[in-house]
Amino acid sequence: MKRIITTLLASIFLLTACARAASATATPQPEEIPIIITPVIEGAFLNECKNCHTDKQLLIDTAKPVEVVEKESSGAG
Amino acid sequence: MEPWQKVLVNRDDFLADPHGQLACTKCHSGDNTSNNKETAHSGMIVDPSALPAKVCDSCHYDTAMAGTGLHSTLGGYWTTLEERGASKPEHDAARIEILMATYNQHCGSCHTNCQECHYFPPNTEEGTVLVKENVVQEKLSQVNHLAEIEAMRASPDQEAIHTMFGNHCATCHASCGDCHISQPNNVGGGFVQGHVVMKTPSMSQNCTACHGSRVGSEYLGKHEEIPGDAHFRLERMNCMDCHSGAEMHNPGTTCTQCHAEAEGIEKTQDTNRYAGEQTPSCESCHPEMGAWNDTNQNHLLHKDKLACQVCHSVSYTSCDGCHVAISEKTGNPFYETEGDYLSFFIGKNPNPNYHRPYEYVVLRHVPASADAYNFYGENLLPTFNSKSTWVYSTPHNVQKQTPQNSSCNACHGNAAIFLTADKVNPEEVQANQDVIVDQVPSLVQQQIRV
Repeated sequence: MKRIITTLLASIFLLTACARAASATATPQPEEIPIIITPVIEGAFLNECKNCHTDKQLLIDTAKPVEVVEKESSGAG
Repeated sequence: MEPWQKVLVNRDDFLADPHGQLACTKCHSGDNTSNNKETAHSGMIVDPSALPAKVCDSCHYDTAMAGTGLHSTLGGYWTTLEERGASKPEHDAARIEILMATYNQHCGSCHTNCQECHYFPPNTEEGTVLVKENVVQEKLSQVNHLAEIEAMRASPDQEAIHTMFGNHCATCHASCGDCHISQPNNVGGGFVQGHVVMKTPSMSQNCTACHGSRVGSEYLGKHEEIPGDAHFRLERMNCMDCHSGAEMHNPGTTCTQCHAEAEGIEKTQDTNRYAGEQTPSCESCHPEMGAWNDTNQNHLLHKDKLACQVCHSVSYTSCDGCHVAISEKTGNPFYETEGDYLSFFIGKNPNPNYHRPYEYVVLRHVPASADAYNFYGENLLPTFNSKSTWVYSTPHNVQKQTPQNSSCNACHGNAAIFLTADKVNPEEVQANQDVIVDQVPSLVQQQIRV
């Protein structure tokens, strides 16, 4: 039993030592910059403006009748 | 474009745009809590990028100076009008600073406060105001008010030309939104990409929507039997490939941003479109043209003598006699041109300068006429003949091979392609003295190697 515990402790010591040595010689990694995800401000656009102006049928239904304007200019502008 | 198409917002694409993160009312005002069309649109600003709101400027400081660009000010029109003798009123709304300076100089020096000339007696009915006659008379004796008022007021001719400009010329004004969000109003308006703010305008729905009858038709090859510009036909280049955003926004405020010191001070004072640096120049993409290692003898022989278009453009549109008026029938402004036609004429460079030393350039007839604005007043262009009606032009229909560059004598001795006096309307000969070719270059004997 004592031999097993001794072996385990030795293994843990060796693993810890190797890990420290590895981290000491590794190429420094750039610091990770946290990505800030800006939430879409739904309230800003999701309002009555959007409700109408993204609804094709509603725009068709509420559009003013097209006034046909007689073209009075002539020639290249 | 159908009415609904003009105002249909592309929800997904617009929300992905940073501008889609703003409340609609931030730019457009109006009422975003109402689902009633009339109420919601009450107080709404249709084009907030235009004067007076100019909301784009509040974030885009770098391009805010676009307000000084020709698309915004239409300064090129005024340059031409003033060269022909029209006079711009000095105190219109666009020149508010001058107006204020004028006011301060003429009025504000005397009328500093009410109490100086008026007396508000106590213990009398509210609103009772008495005049200090002696003070008023003394001030009146010092100033000729009629002359002062006349000095501030635009002349009848100035008023007339300003009204004409507002009714006709100003319809071509372009705001930020006219290039980056919608089609310009004068071609019907409407979102190009569902209100997405486009960094690069659409060539067909923005640029050539306005610049269509000449540049657009020539570049895209819309004239029968005349090919489109090689840059479009072979390379599918669009307007922005040559004309950068910096050029469009024109934020330059110093002389040396467009002019080199070597030009000389007298040249940097010129304000016409062909006075400054060529932006773009053909050589900026074709640096070998006319350089020491250019193997084309024609380039070496003609460099600095001919504008590139003299050899490399083909027939383009010219127009005659534009007149403007207000319709008696509808009350709308309209124009009429006497005619438009395809032409190709080589003429003298009216203003050789550091950047354009050429002896010969290509000329286009512009639809200017001395009585163009007679609807608004008589003789509004009193020095009409001081500017030519055949003007230096840069047609956008460049070809490698053209009829005039097919051989030396296709151009030399070919009077048909030079603007000689016999081809100019007799009434316009005087105005075109600077560009008319007196002596057509003579035939050459030796064919050069190309």
